[in-house]
Amino acid sequence: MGDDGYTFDFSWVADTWPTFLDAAFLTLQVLIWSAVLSLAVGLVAGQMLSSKRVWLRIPARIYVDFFRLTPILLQIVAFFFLLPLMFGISAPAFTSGVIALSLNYGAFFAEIFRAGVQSLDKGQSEAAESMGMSSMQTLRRIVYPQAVRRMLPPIGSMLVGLTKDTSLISVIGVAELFNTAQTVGAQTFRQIEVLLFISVIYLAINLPLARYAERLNRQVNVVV
Amino acid sequence: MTALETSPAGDAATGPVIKVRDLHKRFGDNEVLRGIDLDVVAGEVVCIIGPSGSGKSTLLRCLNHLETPSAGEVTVLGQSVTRAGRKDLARIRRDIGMVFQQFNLFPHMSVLENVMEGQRVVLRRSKDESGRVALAALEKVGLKDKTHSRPRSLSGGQQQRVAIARCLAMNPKVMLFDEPTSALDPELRGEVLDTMRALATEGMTMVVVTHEMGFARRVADRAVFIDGGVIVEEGDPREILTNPSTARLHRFLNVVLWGEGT
Repeated sequence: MGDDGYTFDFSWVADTWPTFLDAAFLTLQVLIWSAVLSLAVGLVAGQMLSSKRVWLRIPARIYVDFFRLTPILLQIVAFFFLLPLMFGISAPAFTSGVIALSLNYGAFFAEIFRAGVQSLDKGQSEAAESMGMSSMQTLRRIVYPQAVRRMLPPIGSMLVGLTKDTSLISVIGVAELFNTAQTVGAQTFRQIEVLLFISVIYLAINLPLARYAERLNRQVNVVV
Repeated sequence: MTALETSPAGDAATGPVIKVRDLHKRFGDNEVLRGIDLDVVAGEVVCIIGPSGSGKSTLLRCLNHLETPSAGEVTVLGQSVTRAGRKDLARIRRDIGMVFQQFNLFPHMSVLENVMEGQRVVLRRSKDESGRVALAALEKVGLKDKTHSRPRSLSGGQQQRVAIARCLAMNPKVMLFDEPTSALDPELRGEVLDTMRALATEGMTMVVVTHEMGFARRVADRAVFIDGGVIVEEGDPREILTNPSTARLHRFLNVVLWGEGT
């Protein structure tokens, strides 16, 4: 291909694709676990953030601020190295990485959920509660069905971001896509090709996700 | 429609439907209510009037505990609203319908679903029954043909009538109206006021915060004038709205009726 010196060589793919398949599968696992856990954490923390009770609100605020305002890479490394030292808890790199990603994204989701609920006119929950609905019924039947429509677009773009950020846990030795790319690159001396190759895999995961989020977004804008 | 017959709330033996004693409410340093005493008996229509910021909406919102009073007690149908726990409060609220200035219909539901929602979730009525009751309620407010519309496609007056139907479907014993026509264009107020007047005629117990002096005079059994967080004057609306005995009510009436400055 290249005229001036560099010749692209993808012949290594024939030997290493099963390794990349495993790595892609691992990346997907990290993504799905972190997405589910961070959304669950975000839902609870978001509800706590808008609580009238101080003893619920303050801890949630501290959690959200800490994880939103410090680097995610630091959190990943800290969970892996500091937790065993400080608390004697030793978790496999995969678990430790998923927890760090979940807590980080959970903090952002918490703000999205809080903002979504609070952006709703107070009259909506007042109307529901004045009929005798409990606060849980009000949230489930009146508040969330409306607020979710406003939350979907930011949640979609966060999930696209999460796919990309799974690559960060390569630093603690999880053999996901990026980590595998580094290993194979070092063995074959084809670092550039390897990186191009995994870019395509990331795109294959994220393009459908992004397109789906855009479609939801359009539908939501029509309804509300 | 038997499903919607207005049932008399309480009787002479059980005392007033709403009993307010020495009610105070402060927001920070601002004391909005400074000791309100009020009784509303079954079938009575009470209009609360007063300048903006006088505390009349706050008083109404204390009646179903949308606001928590700072001191004093509110009793509705013999049960203390102010001392009720969450569960008891929810149960008391079933009997108290509330109509809001901004209608507060649920935009993600059709008109029919709006009127069915409370029946389904709170009263646990079947789909069939709540649908039947909802249709009867919508017929009563003259909107049976709008059942499948979205609230936002309706005019303000129609939306407020749906909100009234939503209350009626719960078979309330008392209805609270918080400036129900203030958000409406003048030509849309009549349809809402007519609906309210029909309810009053049927014997519904109603507390209405309003600036509609004509409605107060023609429909209310009693007018209560609030200023500065206290009841300044109350009595037969045909009497006090024509010949107020206090200078404050006199000034207020001049402002709302003739637009004269104070």
